Amino acid sequence: MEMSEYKQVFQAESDEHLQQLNDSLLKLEQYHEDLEQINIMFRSAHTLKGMASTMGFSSIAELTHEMENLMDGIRNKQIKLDDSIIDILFECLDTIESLVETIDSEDDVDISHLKNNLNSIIENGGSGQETQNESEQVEKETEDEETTIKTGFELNIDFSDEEIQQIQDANQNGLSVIGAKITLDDSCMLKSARSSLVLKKISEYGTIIKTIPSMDDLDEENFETEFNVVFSTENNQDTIKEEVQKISEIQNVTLSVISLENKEPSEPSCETDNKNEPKTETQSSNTQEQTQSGQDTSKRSSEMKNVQSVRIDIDRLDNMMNLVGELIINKIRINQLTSDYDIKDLDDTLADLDRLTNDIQTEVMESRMVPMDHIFSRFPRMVRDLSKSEGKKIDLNIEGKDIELDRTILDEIGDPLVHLLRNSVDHGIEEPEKRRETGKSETGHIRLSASRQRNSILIEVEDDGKGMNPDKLRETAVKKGLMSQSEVDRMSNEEAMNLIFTPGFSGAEKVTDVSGRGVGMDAVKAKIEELGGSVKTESVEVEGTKIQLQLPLTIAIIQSILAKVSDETYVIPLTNVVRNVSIKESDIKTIKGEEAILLRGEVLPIVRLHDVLNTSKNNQQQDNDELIVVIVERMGKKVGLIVDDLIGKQEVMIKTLDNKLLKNTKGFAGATILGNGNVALILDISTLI
Amino acid sequence: MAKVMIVDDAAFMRMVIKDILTKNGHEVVAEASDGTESVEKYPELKPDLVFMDVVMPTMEGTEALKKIMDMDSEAKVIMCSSIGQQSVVKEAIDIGAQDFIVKPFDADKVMEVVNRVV
Repeated sequence: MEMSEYKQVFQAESDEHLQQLNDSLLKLEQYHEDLEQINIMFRSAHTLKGMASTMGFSSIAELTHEMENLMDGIRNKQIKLDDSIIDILFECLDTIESLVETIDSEDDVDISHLKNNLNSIIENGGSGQETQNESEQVEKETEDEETTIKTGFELNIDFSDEEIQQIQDANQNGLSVIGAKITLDDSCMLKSARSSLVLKKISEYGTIIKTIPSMDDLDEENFETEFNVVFSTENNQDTIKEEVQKISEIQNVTLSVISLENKEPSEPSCETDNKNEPKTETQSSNTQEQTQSGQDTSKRSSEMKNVQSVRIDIDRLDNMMNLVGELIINKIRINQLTSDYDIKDLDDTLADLDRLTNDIQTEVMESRMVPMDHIFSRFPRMVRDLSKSEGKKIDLNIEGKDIELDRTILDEIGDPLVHLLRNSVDHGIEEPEKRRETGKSETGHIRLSASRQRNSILIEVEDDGKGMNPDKLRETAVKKGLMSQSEVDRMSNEEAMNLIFTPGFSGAEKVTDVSGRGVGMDAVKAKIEELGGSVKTESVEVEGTKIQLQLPLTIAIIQSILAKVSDETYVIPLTNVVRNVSIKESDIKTIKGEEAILLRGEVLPIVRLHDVLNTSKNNQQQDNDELIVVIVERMGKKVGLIVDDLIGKQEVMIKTLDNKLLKNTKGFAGATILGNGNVALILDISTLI
Repeated sequence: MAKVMIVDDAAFMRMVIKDILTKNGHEVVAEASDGTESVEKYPELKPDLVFMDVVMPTMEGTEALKKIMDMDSEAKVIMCSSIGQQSVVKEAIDIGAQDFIVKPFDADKVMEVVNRVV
């Protein structure tokens, strides 16, 4: 998962916690003793701290840490909550909120004064207690008279008479007494907890006689990274060592057997320990100043944002999309009736309805959008693994991760993209030696990019591999019996490139285990076209191959042009339409057996929809010699469609022809219901061109 | 490969841990947003490993840990704690937590603990 995605979740969840904190603090302001709110605030601050520190947002982590301490103090009645503290807490929340909001920006919000304020409150409430604890420990240290014993790793351990007795008893019972020196990782944070995990492990194998520093000091974390344990055991040293080393954050474990022969005359321990002296805390006077700092808490509550996110089942969104579609159909129907009956009074209301349905359509569409990263993020790993297994060096460059696409489409294009990338790795990029021979860098490059076009998304998979040779493709097509020689001869190089999309065509000479078997490029093409998109190939031998996928932003509702052919109405998706022209029958020339017109210096093939759709010609239309041509474009290829009449522009909802009977119908992308209740077929431009 | 349950009230933290685990070939079989949920889910899923947050609403981590250990004395639970939670973590160790990690943690740390415990 990418950082940006983490950030999004982080921000959304932080906002929820901030909201919670604000709510609780408002309640606390009313009633200072509300323990429940204190607990909630403590938890929220704690959770925020954990999240922020994981993301490395130190300012938020530091502030929430202090807040957590403060709330803990209040909870334990060490700190008395008053209005000034509440003001500071509000200020904290606002600061955290702005920190969360501006998480990407470099300029840091200064939190030092807030931290100092919180600190001084905490220390005012809690310092007395601590001093007491520490002086207690100093007393404990001098309690026993001690005996020093030398252990194998040159550590002088002072044993009291009682401890010596324990060691002697253990030895008599056939147990060995072992001294262990344990060093924790420098990065270890809860050293005391870590030490207790070690002690627990050791006591599973024996009896602990003594720890250095004392158990209390271990508890209070009065040690650096190293501590010692003396214990008696019947187990093997090595087993214990192994077990202790299994605990994480342990840097080193040294064990040695302690025997009383090493006993030396006892000396009073004369180490003076300065760090145990009670700390003299300078009492800060900050609390006084803070009284003025926050006066308008009531204003804050009105400013509180309520940004929350909810997970919604994709089926729900599909349903909503369907309903929006129905709504649009009804809107169009009302529009039609209004104009049929010429009801002027409805004009304003209809304009409003128009705007509203547009807005709701946009909203629903937007809510279905998911960034490309959703599927892109798994590709780097895939390409890395593939190239490694084939001994190739490949650099995958991904662009346009943030481009958003309808969730349904996104879910469907994952497999086709995997196939295209595999093709590039498998058949595109050459082995390093081969690349060097052709004067290329050893590392091949694959570029996967997504970009937003006007009303569609363009996804490109481009590699700088060996490319394709159109002649070889022609040859293969003939060899495999997919085309006749004369057919392929007539093809332009560009058309020949598209042979790879023909079912049964596989460009690979040898079948590898990743690509080149079963599902081929034809499956990719079929899938993309099923989604209302199109595929195009460009390839130059030796230089590389580029495959472009053009996809609609959404699949359910499209802008379209309604055209009449004979007495039927047909829908032409507006994304395909370039413009309309009107020509004369005599303008049509026949080039290589196909009809075409010359338009602005461009040869434009002509398709008579009458012929394609097998409808009877409308003779009236024929008479006036004027022909209406809708010029459509598909992946840079233009064709003129001759229609009888143009009705107008309209948005239509696609109802797919996915029942058993109509599933394989060619030429139509679906059907729609028009405003007058009639059904119209949507032309599938890609199969017409 | 271990089957893991992640218990944390912050979806964000669950996501972070889940990503680390799945990237390293482990399977996250369940996620719970508080102790109660984790106690409910544990017996039916019997995960090999549980990541248990300490501070959670409705049921704290240690309490959930206790309930899980009661159900399955072999349960392997790793506590997810923060600095300043020493005593709670110690309590958890006494109850039977196998190990603990301290927020903020990185993938290496998480995996180290997982590899030691599993």
